[in-house]
This record gives sequence, C-alpha cells and structure tokens, in this order.
Amino acid sequence: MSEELLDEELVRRAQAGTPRAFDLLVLRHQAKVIQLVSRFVGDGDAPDVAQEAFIKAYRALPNFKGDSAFYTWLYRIAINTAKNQLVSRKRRPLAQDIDVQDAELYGHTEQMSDNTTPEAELLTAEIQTAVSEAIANLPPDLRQAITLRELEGLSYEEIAEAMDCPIGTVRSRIFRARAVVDEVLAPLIDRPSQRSL
Amino acid sequence: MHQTDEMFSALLDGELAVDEIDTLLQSLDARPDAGVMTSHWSRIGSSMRGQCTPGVGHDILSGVRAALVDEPRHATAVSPTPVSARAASRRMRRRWFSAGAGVAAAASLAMAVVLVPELRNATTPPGTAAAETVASGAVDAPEAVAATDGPAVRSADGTGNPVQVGAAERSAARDDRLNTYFIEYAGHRTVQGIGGPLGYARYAAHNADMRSTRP
Repeated sequence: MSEELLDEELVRRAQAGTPRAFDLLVLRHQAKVIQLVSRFVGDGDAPDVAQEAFIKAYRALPNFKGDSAFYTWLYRIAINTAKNQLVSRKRRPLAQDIDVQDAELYGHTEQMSDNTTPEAELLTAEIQTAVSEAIANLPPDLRQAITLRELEGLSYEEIAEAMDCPIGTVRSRIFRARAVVDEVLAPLIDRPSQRSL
Repeated sequence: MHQTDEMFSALLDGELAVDEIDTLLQSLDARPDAGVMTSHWSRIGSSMRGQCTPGVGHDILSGVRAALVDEPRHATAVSPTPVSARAASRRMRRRWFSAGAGVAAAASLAMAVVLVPELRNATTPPGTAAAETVASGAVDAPEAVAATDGPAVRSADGTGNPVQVGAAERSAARDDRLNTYFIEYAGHRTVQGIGGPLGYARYAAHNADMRSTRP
C-alpha cells in the first residue's frame, strides 16, 4: 500500500469514529512535523507547536475531503500554527510566505530561528556520532537495508529488488537495524539532563 | 520487543498493509511507549541524513492524546468516499486534463493544416502548382484532385472530358477530406490506444507514407 493510500485509510477510519487511527497518523508524521515547525520556532518550542498542530488537525478532520494528500493538509496546518506562535511571541513575522513544498525543501541548516543552545548542538553531534558508529557495526544486510531506506528513500519493493530478497525480509531487516541502533541511541536521548532539549 | 513492533516500523515507512491496521490499532494499548519508540527510529533516520533537529526524538503522541481525551469522536453522517474512489477521482481529473490538452493541441494542428494551404492559395497567383498537403494526402479522397499546374482538373463526370475545379470546390473537397480524417483518426486512435497530437501526427505521417508507396 502506498504511503498516500495508507494515510487516506487511516483518515477515513478516524473520520468514521476510530480515534486510535489518528494516533497512528501522529506516529507516522510527528517527526516530520516537528522538523518542519522547528525551522520557524526553534528546537525548544517545536514539540509543543507540533502537538498543537496535531490537535488542530484532529478537530478539523471532518472538514478534510481528500482533495489534497493528508500530509500536505497537515503540513499547512503546522506551518500556520508555527506562524501564529511567532506572532503571539511578538516576533517579526516572516517576510515571505513559505509554501509547504518549499518548507520541506529547506535544509536543516537554513534555520529561521536561532534558538539552538550549545548543549543541544553538543547532544546532536554526540547522537550523530553514536548513530554512525552503530550503523557501521551492523551486519551488512541490515546496514544495506536501512541505508537504502533512510538515505536513498527507496520503497520496500525497490529495496527488495536491489537486494534480491522478499519484501518481508526487507521489512524485517530494517526493523532489526532500527532496534539495534536504538539500543545505543535511547540512553542518549532519554538522559534526564537532556529531556528538556 | 513485541510482535507488533515490526508493524510500527512498517507504519513509519508507509509500508503497512491494510489488513494489518486493525492489529496495530489493537496493540496501541499494549504499547504505550509506541510514540517514544517511533520517534527514536525517526531520529536514527534524520541523524543518518545529517539533519540536526533535536526535537525529532520527542514523542508528542501522549500529549495529543491527553488534549483530545474529552473530544467527541468524529462520526461522519454520510459514509466517506472510499480511498480508491478518491484516488480514482484525482486520476480521472488528471486524465481529462491531459486529454483536453491533447485535443486542444490536435485541433490547433488541424487548423494549421487547413489554414496554411488556404493562405498559400490566396497569396499564390493562379496557375501555380498547388502541392498536396499532409492532411489531404493522408486519406483516400472520394475523387482524386491532382496537383497540376493551373486549375485542378477532375475526370469524374463520366464522359472522360476534363472538368475544371475552382478554388471553392477544392476548399470544400479539402474540408471533406479533413472531416473524414478526423473520423478515421478517432477510430484508429481508439483501436490503437494512441492519443494526443503526437498520435495524430503519427497517424497522418503513416498514411502519407502509405500513399506515397502506392503504385
């Protein structure tokens, strides 16, 4: 099932009275929404603004007719929520309107806010080093699968073709790679002193 | 590690099968840390890509749930449009738009085919050879109109005597050929599954070639 069709099915179920289906949509898109709004409001406020965006999206869900992809509609809500946050903080409004597609294309280096603290930068560098080492230490088949997925953006079907293995095997390898790397990553992210970052 | 964790991983990548959605929905209660787990996986991906967004590792699902715990459930009065129908509707709109653009281009090409000879005849003095156009050569004319010096002649009156054909008559004959062209093209297009101005031009060129190879 394509990503768009999966989202549409989850939206349909949420609209039909299954709120847990919206939970799955949150799980799917929370990282991208946080990353998107962080370009407006900074890393510190990004999770709160993202949370607010999802709440607004849930309340507006009956009005979503499917004329656009769900993530496009969600990202538009997230950008508007972030802009409102900026205005409410009496910051200078953005000089130009940012299209959803343009916002996605902005690299992580093009931060519109400069709230990154030295501690956050240090943690980020630490995490990136730990992840790189963990990936390098993975068995070759797991490393190849997760690399093709995360860096090349290939679908499971494309990865299966590239690695000459069933799609189910690809899915299993990507999951196991994530599980192994998370054993290294989780202690860094969940350190009590870093939880506010 | 739970059995459904692999499904959460597939969900993150948009690769979850439709028949697995129910299983995953039922497992959410058994996996209260699903939000933390998937946010960590997202952080792995962003770190691999060199994206430094610390907030990506945060789980906001619990906050969203808490805020919406008292919200009424949605309940659509009319059954929502099925996924396949909405996607089909968007595909149909795209298809009609591209077909419309093709028809517009084909119509422009046809107009040029009709008008260029007209303009040429209007500007060329009588007696100049009127060259057969691609359009006029692509379909068997009910009666051949030879391109000769001087007025066109036709030996179709049954007597064998040549009959001079004026410009108006030639224009009418060309219109007839063009109309027949469109009708045959439409039928050919349906059979061959070709479309758009390229298909039209390809059809016209093919028939012009066939004409030129006839003895």
